[in-house]
Amino acid sequence: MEIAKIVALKVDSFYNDAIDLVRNTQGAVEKIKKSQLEKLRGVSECATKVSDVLNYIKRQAARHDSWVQDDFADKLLDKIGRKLRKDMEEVCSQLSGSPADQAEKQQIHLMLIREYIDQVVAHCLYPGPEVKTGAQ
Amino acid sequence: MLNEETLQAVRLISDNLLYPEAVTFVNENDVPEDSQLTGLLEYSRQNDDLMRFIKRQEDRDWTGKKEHYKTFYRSLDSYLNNLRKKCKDEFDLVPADLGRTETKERVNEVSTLLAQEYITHLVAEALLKNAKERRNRKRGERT
Repeated sequence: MEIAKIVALKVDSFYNDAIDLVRNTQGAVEKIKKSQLEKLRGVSECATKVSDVLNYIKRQAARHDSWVQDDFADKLLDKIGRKLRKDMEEVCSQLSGSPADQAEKQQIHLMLIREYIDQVVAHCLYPGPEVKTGAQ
Repeated sequence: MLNEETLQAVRLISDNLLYPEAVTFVNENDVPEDSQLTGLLEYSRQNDDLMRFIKRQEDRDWTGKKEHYKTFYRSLDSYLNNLRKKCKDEFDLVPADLGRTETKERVNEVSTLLAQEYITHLVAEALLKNAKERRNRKRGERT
């Protein structure tokens, strides 16, 4: 319960991050098929490891030129592999009681990934004025 | 059949150790073409087949542009053999109280899983590396 609360607070900051990614990679976002974005969300939902998501993005980037346009895949990989790991450490440092073990850390990292991907995919599929015009 | 505790331990080893090591391996080695990588992924479903496949590829007489394949497969063979040893000695994935046959079976089971994980990471990274090189070459030809 405590983990869910701290993660929810962290996730609030993802909204603008996701908009920035989508806005800065418009060329890619317009070309990537809707089904591929939905699959990305599906993979993150079902992932039991962080690497499940990272490997999926790499395979898509290898196969489709659209995924590498505007460095979309590289930016996503960096966010998930590096920045969200940092966020996970931050969440763990806010937990009361005994420090999180490796399995908890992996679960928290996955929770953050799911939330972030969910936001990115939502902004890709249904871009609001903040994505189109840059107004936030 | 491995229990949930062991599977969770494998998931952690996969994310925290095998993934970064596979990325490093690809960065430090020239990798084979995509069809070889796809074959490797297929063979990783069965550890016996995988090791045989790697050995066979290592022993082939690669020449010309494919000369580096030998080094790739040799390094991979060495990594996976080392991984097999770690199952028992380092990762603590094989209970100490098992008999000789059971221990061998458990080591086979766990090392198969770990090898699959490692190969999955390696192939994803290598396919991306190949694609980047192809795109760079294409861009170079255009200019």
